[in-house]
Amino acid sequence: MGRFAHIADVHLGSNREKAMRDLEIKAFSDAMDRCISEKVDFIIFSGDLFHTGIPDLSVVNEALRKISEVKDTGIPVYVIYGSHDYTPAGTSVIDLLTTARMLQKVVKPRMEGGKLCLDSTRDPATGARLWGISARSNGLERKYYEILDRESLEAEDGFKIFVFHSGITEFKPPELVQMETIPISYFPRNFDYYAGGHIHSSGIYRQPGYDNIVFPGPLFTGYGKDLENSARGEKRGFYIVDFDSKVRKIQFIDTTACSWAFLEFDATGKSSSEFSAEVSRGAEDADIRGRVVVLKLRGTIESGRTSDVDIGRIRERLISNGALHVYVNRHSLFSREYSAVNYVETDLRVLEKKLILENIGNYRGSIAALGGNKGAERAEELLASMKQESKLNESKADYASRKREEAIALLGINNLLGADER
Amino acid sequence: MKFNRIRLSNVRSYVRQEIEFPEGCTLFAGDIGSGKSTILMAMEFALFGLGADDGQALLGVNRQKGFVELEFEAFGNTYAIHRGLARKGNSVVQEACTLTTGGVMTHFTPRELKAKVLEILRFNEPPTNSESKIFRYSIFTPQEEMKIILSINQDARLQILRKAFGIEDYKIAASNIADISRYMRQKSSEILSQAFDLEEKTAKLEDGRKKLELLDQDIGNLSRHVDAIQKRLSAAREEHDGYRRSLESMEAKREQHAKIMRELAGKQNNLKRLDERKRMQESSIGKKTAFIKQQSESIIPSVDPESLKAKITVLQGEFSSMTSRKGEVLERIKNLTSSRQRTQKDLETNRNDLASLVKRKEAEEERIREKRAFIEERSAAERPDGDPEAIGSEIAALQKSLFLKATESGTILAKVSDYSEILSNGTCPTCERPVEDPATFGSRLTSREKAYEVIEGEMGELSARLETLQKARERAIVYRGSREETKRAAIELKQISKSLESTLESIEKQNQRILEKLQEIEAMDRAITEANLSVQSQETELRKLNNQIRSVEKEKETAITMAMTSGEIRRAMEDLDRMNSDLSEIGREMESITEEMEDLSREATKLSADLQSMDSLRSRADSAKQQVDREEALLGQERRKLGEAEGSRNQLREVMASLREEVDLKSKMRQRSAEILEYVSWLDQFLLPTIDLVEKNAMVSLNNEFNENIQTIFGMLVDDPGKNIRVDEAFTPIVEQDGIAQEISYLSGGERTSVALAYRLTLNRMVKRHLMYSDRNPLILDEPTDGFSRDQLLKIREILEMMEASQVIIVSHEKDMESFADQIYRVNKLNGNSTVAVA
Repeated sequence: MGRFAHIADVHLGSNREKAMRDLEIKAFSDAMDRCISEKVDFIIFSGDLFHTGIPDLSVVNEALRKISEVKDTGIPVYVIYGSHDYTPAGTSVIDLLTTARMLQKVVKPRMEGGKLCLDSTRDPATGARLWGISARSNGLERKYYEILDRESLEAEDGFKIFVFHSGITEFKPPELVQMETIPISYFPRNFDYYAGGHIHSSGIYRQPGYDNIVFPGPLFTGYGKDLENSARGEKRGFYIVDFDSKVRKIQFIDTTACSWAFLEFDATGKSSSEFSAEVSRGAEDADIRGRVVVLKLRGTIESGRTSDVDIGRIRERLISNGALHVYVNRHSLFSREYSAVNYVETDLRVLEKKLILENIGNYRGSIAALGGNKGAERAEELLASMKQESKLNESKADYASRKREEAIALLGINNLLGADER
Repeated sequence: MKFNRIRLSNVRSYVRQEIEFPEGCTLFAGDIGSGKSTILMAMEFALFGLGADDGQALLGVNRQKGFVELEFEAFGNTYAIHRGLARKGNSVVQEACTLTTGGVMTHFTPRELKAKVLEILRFNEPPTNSESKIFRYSIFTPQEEMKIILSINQDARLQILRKAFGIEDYKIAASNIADISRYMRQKSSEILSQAFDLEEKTAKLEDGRKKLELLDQDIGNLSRHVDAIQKRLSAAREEHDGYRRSLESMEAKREQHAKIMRELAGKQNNLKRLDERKRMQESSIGKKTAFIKQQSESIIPSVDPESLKAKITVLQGEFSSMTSRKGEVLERIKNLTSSRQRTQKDLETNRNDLASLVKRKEAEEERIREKRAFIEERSAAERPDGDPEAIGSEIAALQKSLFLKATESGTILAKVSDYSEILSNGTCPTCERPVEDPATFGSRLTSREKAYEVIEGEMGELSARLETLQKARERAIVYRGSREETKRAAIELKQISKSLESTLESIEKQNQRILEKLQEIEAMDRAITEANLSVQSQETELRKLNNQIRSVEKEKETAITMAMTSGEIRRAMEDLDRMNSDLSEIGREMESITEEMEDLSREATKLSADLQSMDSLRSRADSAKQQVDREEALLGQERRKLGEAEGSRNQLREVMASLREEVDLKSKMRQRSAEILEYVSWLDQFLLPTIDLVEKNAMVSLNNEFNENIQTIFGMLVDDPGKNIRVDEAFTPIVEQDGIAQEISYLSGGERTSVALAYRLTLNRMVKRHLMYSDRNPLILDEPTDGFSRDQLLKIREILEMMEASQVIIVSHEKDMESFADQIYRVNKLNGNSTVAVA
């Protein structure tokens, strides 16, 4: 019985914050340790082992430390490029590690008769054969699949593993509707195991002719949406697969490296100050010690700005209360005041005129000079006058008095206020 | 704005340097520390002065003086600024500056020049800031400050942007308007406070009005009351006057009566005196007569005068007694006349009563006649043959017989019809079968026909009899009814007869009374007649007596005359004549007085009769007077009340006039206050919210535009689709990876520079576009690509082209930047001195 570990989307180097980087490394180390302890015959990294083509060297150093440990136990590590750790022109870290024989690329393409033919990599310990297609950014690898010589691959025998780093159209998660995916029919049939990557949620899928299409998801977080999913309790890890002539067992190994706390607050119907206070209270009361916190703020604030919510202070508070790290998602937090505007007009004069004319109708008083077009004109004149700043060396009192006189003259209410009384 | 050239003298590492600034992209390339950034610092210094910076940082080391001259264009005009630096002791100060334009040089203090430059460039910020924020944010940011924009205090940044885009003006306007609103509100309050008691005054006015109304009512009532009293008083006075006049008249009568009585008494006294005189005269006459007799005894009269005189006295006595009796008779006549009148009245009453009784009698007699006639008529009605019930029974029996006859007749007739049918058709009308011997039915038919005739005859008789009985029954019913009516009529007749009897009795009594009255009247008439006759006879008698007395007196005179022959007798006779004449005179006078007394007595009697009603008249006059007094008192009282009420009303009117004036004034004050508040409301409810709305709209518009621009530029610099940038409402940049905000500090160096550059370039574009009077402003970038990858460097050209800056001045040590510069200056430093040369 053979055994291999299927890992994908490690995204080493995606976290720059020390705490998260440490957890990221820890998750990877734990996964490697687990592979050793489980005595896997080989490890497959189906893309995005690193977050970038040229990551921070300290990250590479840590990764190399663990990979070499694995290598020292005689476990080969097979790899393909992912959409991130791939450099279209130039040398990526994968290339370096492959050259250093830490990793072994299983993508061996050749063109033949206009078709893309793939050569296999045979695992010496188990005899399992691996074929792989690397990913490109924005799903550009699709064109490889379009010219792939599937028949040849399907005709191959033995325990066959297809390693890829793409979304499959038929299994595309609804939230990734924008993602470029490959239809399953583009894949060669009848492989024993399809070692996928790129989809950051674990799952095993089957289709007629396609058994064991597996996505392990990231070991730790990766970035972005992964954080929220992890915080909501999604397990992270990899798969250990037992096989002989067929896959016998696929076991998910949880490598969740830390505890999470997901704090979600809805601002709908609240003022910015109310919401800010609610979030502060919630953050204060939450059990976040030793956890990575994902703070999600959403909804539409009735009054005030989204920037009125002092994220920095809340973040500091959470950290001081023991949170390992705090991520804030306020992408879906809006302000009604700042969205409920009728005019997108940057010429201020035009805007003033429009809004004054629009709102003068709200005046329902009895003074004719204040309503309608007359009132609007008066408002414009008054606004123009009142916008002027104080003159050089003009005292506050003088300025205030001057403005008062101007306003009273503009409004024509000298007599009303009593000239001798002012 | 466009920079033309700069001249440096003893500025940092530059001793003397002049640099032209062409349009397009000018790159100052050189090693780090060669003096590239000094050029930019000098440009900023020339425009805005030292600001918060120390002059030591600009003036060349060990140099005493230095300057920067900068020539630039703005809004079509060319300006040349000269700013000098001088070392004074341990510090370096700015010297006086000049600005030359249009050939005119003007001297300014450093601060004045800064204000002037801001004015020229039309940067909307006060000259009091240590530096020009707009310049720093949009045109030039020193290298070390490039990324500060990301970490600057949110409010400070927002403030600068608001100033740059003219949004801050709205805050100023709102603040001023709020101040004016407060001022006006206070004024309104002050004015209103002067009318704080308007309600109270209005209530008082209303109170007053009501009181006035009531007073008017009261006065009206009082006036009407006074009028009524006056009328009553007038009436009472009139009545009283009437009574008074009546009383006066009565009084006059009483006086007259008294006068008469006095007169009577006087006359009585006169009469007494006259009687006394008469007696004395008679005594004297007697004495004279006696003397004459005595004297005449010697003379033999033919007749005895004394006896004649005695006869005269007797006759006079008889005359008086006759007169007295006549008076009594006259009195009796009077009484009889009065009685007669009363009796006559009674008689008339009785006659009227009698007439009524007679009328009643006649009516009753007429009714009796009618009733009798009615009864006779009813009684004469033919008695029916029987009572209606008996006749009805007979009729019923007859009707039954008639019905049976009719039935029988019908049967017979049917047979007749059948037999006729058989005879004519030879078939049975019932079964319609031929009959054997139809002829046999002929006799049957004849028999039936006869029987039908008989029955018809009987039926006719029965019908006639029935009719007769029905009529008889009707008559019996009528008769019965008539009997009832007759009975009622008889009863009524009896009643009327009784009444007639009573009436006749009453008539009889009345006639009796009338008769008695007539007899009484007759008796009185006879008595009156007798009395009149008696009076006539007494008058005749009196006339006779009077004639007798005259005659005797003549006789006596004659006798005396005959007897008097001597002188003494003659004198005595003359005396006697005189005395007799006096006596006659006295007699006549007494008669006259008596007559007068009689007249007076009659008048007195009449007056007495009239005066009898004087007491009641006086009583009525007193009542009337009391009434007058009461009405006068009441009138006085009511007039006083009226006067008081009118006085109160006048007073109240005055008070109300004053109150009305006050209320008008306070109402006007209220109105003023309300009008001012309307202006305040216009400011608070319309203008301030509108300004806020304008500000928000402007901010949102700017925010949207800012986001659009920064996202475009950032997107060009950072090729990570999962990574995006936006600014929040405070223009704070937020970098997000799949929605999760990334702290700027955790971005890579290149990402941080990308954010800062994108932000700055966005600001530059927007300031250029939105500052109302903004010219095409240049862009000065000091080492803008710190941390950039090569790919990013290459994108700078694209971005700069997008910026459409007329003039870009870049300071950079990156070789790659040279590829898109229009003009490259090499900055070299040798032995501490920097030089700039065209590359």
